[in-house]
Amino acid sequence: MSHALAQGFELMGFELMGFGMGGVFAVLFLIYLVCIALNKLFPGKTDKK
Amino acid sequence: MASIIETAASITFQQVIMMIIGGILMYLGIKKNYEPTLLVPMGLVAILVNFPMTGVLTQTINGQKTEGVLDILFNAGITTELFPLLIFIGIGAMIDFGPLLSNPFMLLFGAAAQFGIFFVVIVALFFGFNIQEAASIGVIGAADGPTSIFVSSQLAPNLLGPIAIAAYSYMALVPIIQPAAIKLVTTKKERRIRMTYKAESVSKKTRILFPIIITLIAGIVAPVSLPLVGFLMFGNLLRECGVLDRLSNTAQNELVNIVSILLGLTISVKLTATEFLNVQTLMIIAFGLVAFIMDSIGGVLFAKLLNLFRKEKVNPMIGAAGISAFPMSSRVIQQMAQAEDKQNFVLMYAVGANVSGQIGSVIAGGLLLGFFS
Repeated sequence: MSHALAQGFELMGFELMGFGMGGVFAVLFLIYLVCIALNKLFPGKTDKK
Repeated sequence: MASIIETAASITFQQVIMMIIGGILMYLGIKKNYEPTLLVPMGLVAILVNFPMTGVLTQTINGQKTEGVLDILFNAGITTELFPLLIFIGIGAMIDFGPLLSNPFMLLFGAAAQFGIFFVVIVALFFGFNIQEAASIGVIGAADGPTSIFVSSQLAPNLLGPIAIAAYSYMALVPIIQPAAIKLVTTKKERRIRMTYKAESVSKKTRILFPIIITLIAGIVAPVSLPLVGFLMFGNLLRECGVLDRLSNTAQNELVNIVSILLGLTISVKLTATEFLNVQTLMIIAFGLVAFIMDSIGGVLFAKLLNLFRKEKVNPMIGAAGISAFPMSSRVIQQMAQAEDKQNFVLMYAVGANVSGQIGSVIAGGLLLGFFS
């Protein structure tokens, strides 16, 4: 594999890392907000003493 | 007698090695109880497929091409991605998202612990794999067998065998790999951090709406992940909706059991000596281990980073539970916490992170596929 091609592949690897980690964090953060909203809108029953 | 000698003589040294590997897989499954549902069938099939002229695989016997039964199953269930998706219905039905919904903060660990996937993509590229192959190898780090199969069957079907073997083997080895990785980046004092659990009940409406909303989000943000996410959440909806208990029980038991048998048999089709015994396979298995370790380390380091800003400290070991090996990883974390401090109960937090790891790995797999689509 030529040096330039190898460098291109590694750049793509870093691009994939940024896309992947950024994407996973973004989606799970969105789900985090959804969880909070759901818990606020439909709170679970609390034990009455 | 002559045919026995002829058969014995036609078995190559490499095929004998593969049969020994099959024996080791069965030993790990039966004696050590490591993922026996998969390792036992995989082990026996590793022996089956390495016998020449049996018709188990598509072979030419006596000048006639015979379609092998395992190849038929492979084409029906793996090439079409049917088996991993069906397994996801069962997994979804087994998962209780309650601990996650009551502590949604744990979701962030499910994201951080996917770091190993992308780290290994770079490593694999460096060692000469192309970008699709590197991405498929990285997914081993998701510690999620069905996702690994789903992604690699699309991006690098030629590497499906070693990737599936590595994914399931490392999942089985969580109790050995994770403690070592965690101890590498934590101090005894950090492992003793206690976390008080606030048990908050989750309403039925929240439990029902959660899988539906996740499906919608996945469909919009990462549409390629929808088969995985959709089937996982469908299984969970069966569990939570309250009116389909019979289907939920079937998904958790009969469906998972039947598909596990078929999956165990079919992924081992690629365990032939010619396809498996080469430097590339050994590299994939080694990279898979690196991905797995880096996932755990990524989760732990993220937890340590958060502790710099939080008043209520998080036990950093919780971060390592953000991998997808459910529920084994959360159990390992609890055992480690109690080994350091008998009164330390972090299980519910670990379960929350572990469940979020299940979602995180599926999303990561979908994003990898989305990157190339």
